[in-house]
Order: sequence, then C-alpha cells, then structure tokens
Amino acid sequence: MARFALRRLFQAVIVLFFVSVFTFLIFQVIPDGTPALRLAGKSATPQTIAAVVRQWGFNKPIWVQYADMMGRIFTGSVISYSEHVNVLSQIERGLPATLSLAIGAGVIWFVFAVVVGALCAVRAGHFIDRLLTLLSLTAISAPTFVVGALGLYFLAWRVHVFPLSGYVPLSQSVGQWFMHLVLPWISLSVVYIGLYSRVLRSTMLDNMHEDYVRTARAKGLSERKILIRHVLRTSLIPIVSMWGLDFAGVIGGGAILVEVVFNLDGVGQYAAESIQALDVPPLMVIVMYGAVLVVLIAALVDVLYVWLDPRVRLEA
Amino acid sequence: MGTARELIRTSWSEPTPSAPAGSASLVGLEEPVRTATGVGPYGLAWRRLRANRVAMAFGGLFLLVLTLCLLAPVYARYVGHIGPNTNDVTGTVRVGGRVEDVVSPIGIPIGPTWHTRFFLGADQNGRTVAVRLLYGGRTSLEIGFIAAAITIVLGVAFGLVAGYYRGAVDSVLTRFMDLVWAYPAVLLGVAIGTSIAVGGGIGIGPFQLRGNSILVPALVIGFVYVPYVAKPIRGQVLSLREQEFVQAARCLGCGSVRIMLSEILPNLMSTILVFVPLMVAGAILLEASLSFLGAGVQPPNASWGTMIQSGLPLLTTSPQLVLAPGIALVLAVLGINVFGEGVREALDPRSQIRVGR
Amino acid sequence: MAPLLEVERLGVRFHTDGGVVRAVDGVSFALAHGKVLAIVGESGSGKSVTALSLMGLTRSANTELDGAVRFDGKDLLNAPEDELRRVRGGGMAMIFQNPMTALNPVQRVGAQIVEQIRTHERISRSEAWERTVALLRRVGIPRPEVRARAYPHEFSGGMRQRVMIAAALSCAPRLIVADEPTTALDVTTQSQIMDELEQLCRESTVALILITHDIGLVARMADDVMVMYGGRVLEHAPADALFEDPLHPYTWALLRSVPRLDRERVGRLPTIGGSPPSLLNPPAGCHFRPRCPHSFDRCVEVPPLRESVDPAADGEEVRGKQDEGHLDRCWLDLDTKRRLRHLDRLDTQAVALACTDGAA
Repeated sequence: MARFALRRLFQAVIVLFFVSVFTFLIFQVIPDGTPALRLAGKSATPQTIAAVVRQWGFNKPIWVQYADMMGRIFTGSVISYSEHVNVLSQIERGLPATLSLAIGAGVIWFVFAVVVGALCAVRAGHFIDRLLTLLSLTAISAPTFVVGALGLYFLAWRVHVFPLSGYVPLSQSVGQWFMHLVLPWISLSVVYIGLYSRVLRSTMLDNMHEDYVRTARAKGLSERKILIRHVLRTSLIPIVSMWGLDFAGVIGGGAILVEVVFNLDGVGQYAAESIQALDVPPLMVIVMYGAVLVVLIAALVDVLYVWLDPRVRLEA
Repeated sequence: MGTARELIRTSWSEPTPSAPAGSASLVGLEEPVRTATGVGPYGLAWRRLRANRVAMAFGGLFLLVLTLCLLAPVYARYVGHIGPNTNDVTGTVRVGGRVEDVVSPIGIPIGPTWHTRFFLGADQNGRTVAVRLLYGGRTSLEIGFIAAAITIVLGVAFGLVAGYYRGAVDSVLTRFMDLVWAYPAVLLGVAIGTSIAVGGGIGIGPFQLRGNSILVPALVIGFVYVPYVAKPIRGQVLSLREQEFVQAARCLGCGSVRIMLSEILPNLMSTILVFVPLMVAGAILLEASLSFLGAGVQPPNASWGTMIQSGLPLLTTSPQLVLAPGIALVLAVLGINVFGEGVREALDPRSQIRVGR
Repeated sequence: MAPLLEVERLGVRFHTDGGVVRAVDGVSFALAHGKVLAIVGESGSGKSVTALSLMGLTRSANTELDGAVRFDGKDLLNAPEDELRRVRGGGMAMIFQNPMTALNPVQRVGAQIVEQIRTHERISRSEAWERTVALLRRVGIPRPEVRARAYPHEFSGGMRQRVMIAAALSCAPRLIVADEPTTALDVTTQSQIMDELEQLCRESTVALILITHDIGLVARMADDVMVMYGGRVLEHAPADALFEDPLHPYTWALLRSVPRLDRERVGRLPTIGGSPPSLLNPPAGCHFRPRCPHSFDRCVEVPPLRESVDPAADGEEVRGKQDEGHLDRCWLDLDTKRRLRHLDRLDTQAVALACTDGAA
C-alpha cells in the first residue's frame, strides 16, 4: 500500500514537470511577438524595447527563461506585466474566497447528487425518475455562469433573498459569509449534481442485479439496509474518485466563471482580470497551479481508490 | 462436450425435432430472440432511437435552433431591420405610440418591445438583441460543430494509432494525452486562448489565422477535448486489435493502415457516434465559457458567450442581455444532450461515457 | 410431528417482454426436520426458481406466485415482507451457486456474517464477531480470527463457499437451501465442501434442500429425491427407491449420463439428446415428450404425478414396500416402464460399443 502510494506520487512528480514545461510553452511560444512590445508601451522607442527585453530576459534561450520562471515561482517572486505586483501574494489573497466556494460547493454537489441519483435508481422508470433525469440533463446543459446570472437576477435582485454579490471573509461574519456564498455554491453545484446523479443512477442499477445483493436479501436484511450498505456503498466508489478530480478542477480553475458572476474576490477573479489585461505571468502561475492540483489529487484519488475498493489492491 | 453431445444425438433412436441446438442454459428466462432480417445494427439502433419520442423531440428542438441561427443572414433583416453589428446609440423607436430612446441618456438600453424592431430590446451600443442572438448562435453553433469535428478526428486518430502500434508511439501519445487531461478544460482553453490573443493570431507556416477568427476558439476547444475521446478509443482499439478478424486480416497480408481503416475503424463507429452529440454539446458550452471570460470569440463577432459577458454588468436593469442568450444556449445544449442520450441508449444501453470538468 | 416445510402446488410465473414464462408449475413436497431433499434436473428445469421462491426471493412486480409454502406451519408465500425477512437467514438460510459473486466484494467476510447475525439477534458487535470466528473455524477455515478480516477476493473459491456455509449456519437455521453449492468449484474442492455439508447435517437437526445436477451427490446425501424438468416434478421418491427402481424415462436418461467407475468405460458418456423445453412456449402435454424415445399418443396430455399402477394387477395395486411414496409423472404403466428400462439400458450399451468399434 505504502509502496504503491510512493510510486504513484513519483509518477505525479514527473507529470508535474511536464505540466510546468507545457504551460510555459503555451504562454511563451504561441504568442508570436515577444511580450516586450506590449510591456514597453505603445510609443516605445527601439531602445526602450531592447531595455525591456534585457530586463525581463526575453533574449535568453528558452530553457534559461523556463528555469528563471520556475525559480521565480518557487521563490515566490513572480511579477505581473501590468502594475508589476507580486503574483503569488495576489493568489494567496484570493485563496480564502476560492476555497470557501469550492469546498462548500463540493459538499453540496456530492450530497445532492447522491440523494438524487439514489432516488432515481430506486424509482427507476417511474415518473419521479423521468422528471429528475430530465432535470439532470438540463443541469448538465446549463453553464455555471448562466445559472449564476439567473440566480443573481431572480433571487438577489427581484426577490431580495440573497445579497447581490461580493465576498465576506469568514472571520468577519459567519452569517454574511454564508449568505454571500449560497448562490455561488448552488450555481457551481448544479452541473455536477446533474452529472453525478446520472452516473450514480446507472451504477446503482447495475449493482442491484449483482449476486451479493440477492445474498443480502437472503440474509434477511431490509431493503433499506441492502440499498445503503450494499448497493450504494459499492456504487459510491467511482463517484468518490470523480469527485476528487472535479473538486481539484474547481479549485484550480472551474471556479473562475462563478467568481466572475458573483464578483467574489478569489483566484478565479484574478485570473479573469489577467485575461482581460492579457497579463501572462499571473495566468501562467494560475494555470500551473490548477494543473498541479489536479495531478496531485488524481494521485491521491488513485491511492484512495485502492483503499476503498479492496479488489484493486492485488493488482496494486 | 459439444462433440460428445453431437455423437450421442446421432445415435439416439429418435430424432429431436423441436429443440434448437446449443441453447442449453436458462431456457425460458432468456430474452426472446427477435431476428429482424435485413436490418443491420445501425438500422436497429435507428429504429430504437426513432421510437424514443423524448429524444426525437429534443433533437427536433436543437435542429430548430440550429436552422434559425444558420439561416439568420437570410431573414434577419426582415425581423430586425438592422444588422447584428450596427450601432444605434442615438436612435429612437416607436413603442405603443410613444417614442423612446434605444439607449436612455443614463446608458440603459431599451428592454424587449415585442415588436419587429428591437424585439428583445437593445444592448448598450443600441444593437438589436434579437438579431445578435441569431448571429451569436450561428457563431456558437459553428464553433461547436467545427470543434467537435476537430476533437473527434484527432481523438480517433490518436486513439487508433496509440492503440494499434502500442509500444513507444503509444507511450508518447498517452503521456501527452494525460498531460492535456491534467488541466481543467476551462483553464487550458483560457491559457491557449489568451496566449493566441496576446500574439494576435496563429501562424504555422502558410497556415495563418487572425486573432479574431472564429476558427481560433474552435481549434482551442477541439484540442482541449481530444483526450476525452482518445482515451476510450485507445482502450477499445487495444482489445479490438487482438480479435480474430484482425489477426485474419494480418494473415492475409493487409498493411497496418488498411487494417486500422477498414477493420478496426468500422468497429469504433458506434462509440464515435455516441461521442458526436456529446462533443458538440461540450464544445458549445466550453465556447460560451471561454467567450464569457474573454478568451474565446473576439469582438466584433458575437457569440452567446460574449453576449452574456457584455450584458452581465447591466444584469439588473436590462436582464434581457443575459437571459436571452443564456436561455438560447441552455435550450440548444439541452436539445442535443437529450438527443445524444437517446443515441447512446439506442446504440449501447450500458456504456458510460462522460465529458467535462 | 408436522413437517418442517410443506410446499403445495407452488407455481411461479414470470411476465417477460416475450410473454408469460411458467418457471415452476404445481410443485408439491414436504420435508421433515433433519432430512435431506435433493432436487435434480438440467439447467432451466425450475429447481433454482423453486428454491428462491421458498424464501420469497422471486417476488417482484412481474412475478406471479401461487400455491402455498408453509414453514413451521406459517405460510410464507403470502406473508408480509418483514415477516419473511425474519425467516430469511434466520430459520431458513441459503447457500448460492457462485461463491465468487455471492459475497460483497468490498466488505470483509467477517463483517458480512456479523451483519446477518445482528439482523436476527440483538447481540453486541463483539459477541457477533466471536461467533463469526467460531463459525469460520467450524467450517474449516484456518486462522479464522485473521481470515475474518479479509476480503472475498483474498479467498479461493472453496474457501468462499465455506464462508457462505458459515454465514448460512450463523443463526442456527432449521433449513438450509443449497443451490448448486459446488457447481462453480473444481472437483477436489467440491468433495471437500460436500463433506463439510454432510457432516453438518449429521451433527445437527438441520434439514437440507440440495439443488444439484450431480447425481453422485444425490446418491451420497439425499433422503428424498425430486426430479424436475421444465418447471414440473417428473419423479419424486425416496433416494433408495429412485436409484433401484427409477420409473420416469427422463430419470433413466439422467442416470445413464452419470460417469461410472465401477464398470469398464466404453465409448463416450451417454447424454440426453436435444435441449430442455422453452418455458415461454412449452410443448403440449408432457414436457419431456419431444426428447423421450418412448413417447406415444397419450403423451400430448399432461400426465398426473402419482404412484404407478400395474394394469396387469387388475386394479389391485401390486407394489413392493419400497414403492411407497414413489411418485412419477408418466402415462406408461409400471410393467411397461420396467421392461422398457431394461431394454433401453441394453440398447445404449450396444450403441456405446458400436462407437468404440468404429474408432478402433
């Protein structure tokens, strides 16, 4: 088990290296002209441009530039093009909002998806199943920012149930923190509830016909216990691993859209501002950190999977 | 066992007329075998799909949206009277006998008039929302289809080559797919999209694209989703290449390319068919997200995503700017998703494929 | 003493897309405490469905059950679900055919037995655990206190079936229904598992319904034998009577297909030609008619299950003591059957000899 975990972690580190190279290349190679033109301003003389090129090191070989960038990321001294602020401290500032959003949404979507999926599976073919299936498909079809905008307009503007937007730190007021996050949580969760409940429904329907469920029935267990202890428990394993990956995806970038709609001052909002300003360093760091999270959590999920599903232990 | 039974059967004093050979287990509980002569698997799937009324209805809904949007240039000037990119900030419009500004002095555009001019209202530049909605839909749907085509062609090609050749080719391609897959889809799209926007376009040899071409977001989206298709295809190819009909083709001296294209590819068709609606839906959604963040379709082109983006600041005073493209987007994607669900059920009721993150 | 289990005209019908399937048709039998009843027949003969229906495990929206199942005098067929649950795993336990899939793969085996004990008895988790370990030891699992914490995939097939037996025994049942308990196992394991079951039956007063198509097993363990075919009972007799004086042509065919070590092996093992009937669209009259070499015009009517009568005795029944309670479902009279059986056996041997000659 420990050896498997270590090996998986080692693999993750290798992938991380490639992630950093790939991200660097995306931002350094695709833009045709050097960013120096942009940095130097519109009415720059060739001398200023040359100075900027030297100052930011754009004239060095690409691998040196890569090493420099990685060095700056690890020492926390990446500077943005516009306004020349420290990128990492900006990201750090946005983390509480992003984490609040992602963790809350993650909990909500997991719980609701399990309830909806289990309900559909138990009542498969009935009216409630069809209704929920259609709702799930609608949820999958609605981008988070559309759901967010609808919620914002109807529940915050027309009916003043929730505050309009913004983020209130948890340390300042728990109630306000909660009220400001309810709509963002829901907007972010909806699509995943739709997605997971569909998967859970079909896995549960498959598992209901397994022999061990018949055994459980022959043991005299009540239908409820059979459903929870045997069918649901086995069916949750794939859901848990999906959850891990999607949760990482949300923290690492999926939250951007919701943060923009609700004006939450998080990492995603920072990324969105950088896109508007075509500011490369913050984006590069955020993209890297998103991918790093996914890779690390994917490794974690693999290890967790082995722990949850004893069948794969032998192979591991 | 089989031969023993055959031998005894021939030596039995009496022939056994009614019982069909071979089907020994669980007779009576088996599903009834209905042989439809002359109908192939796809014909059967199409019959099942046609019988699924909900799927067909939603497929029709998508088709309706698609036709309305694609034909926009043909008829939009009759309903909207001005083009999608025509500003009319200082204009006025007659509503119920009163003359109103298209954009009020404090910058609030007119709401839905439900008349031929400004049917769904105007935006902050005095452009008519209804016409922009149709043109925006055109862009969104075009990108959706182009991106889905790119994803599927690349995904199938990568999966086919990786699964067929295995070894080093497979390692390299799979690692690369894993790498792309490691990025959250929106984030990777944003990264590449922004990068291209910074550079003002793509130039690979003779292949030049301006930054505001709609092919740019289509390429980005198409690329981002490749692993979602390539991975399952590769898995299928890995098992297909060991099948006897492939071995047989190899024995007959068929080349690798021939085997891949005429032996393996046809067997991937049902998976590919399942992927088509999924990828179109996914691509439309991702386009909307990227455009919403400013890393997709670039102005002056409209797409549903950019319309929502530019309308968001005015959400409270002019909700039509967000609601109209938002609802159109959800309807189109819902239509294709429900239809795709029907396709999946008709082709293979047990498969589980998902796209997203 | 009243029998432990009484089944009267049990009928099970499945409503499927293709029509109604009469999986079990008018099955009746009784089983006394501590006795072993074997139900034999090919796949699809309705033996498993009969067994599952005893416990109400075939209940569903598209299943129709009729007749009566009385266990300890209580009707189970129409009992409410919660009453049935008390019987399942408690008074009546079941061992399934495939131990590979019958255990939950993600639960420790000990926990699965503890779960059953605590469903039926209000005892603490640790007490239930101790009993589980004792049970595992009793069915011959080495180091049970360690193995109880293992997962099903860490056991071999035979060991898993032992776990299933331990689970079945956990609440001191009066009846165990074993549905082809050794079919999925290899031959050496099969005999070990059967030794285990046989010993348990001898040690306690637990009754056993053994569903199998292994005639050798029947000969070894059963007190009574019921031969099923196409959802109906074709012959029902005490084991000794069945082996000495089998009366139904289907039973002969079954017995002929048993490999024997006490005779010189000649040619291929005889099998039964054709395949079992489709219950969706069964043949009229006797279900075995299409495969039966002795069928005649009367066989298009369904024969009753009764004690055979010899017409030569002119109404007076001439039977030995061993014929008592020997029921079969065939229109042929007793004398004809015995003569045919004699001829039939000679005939098959001749066929077998011919086969070997041809090969040589």
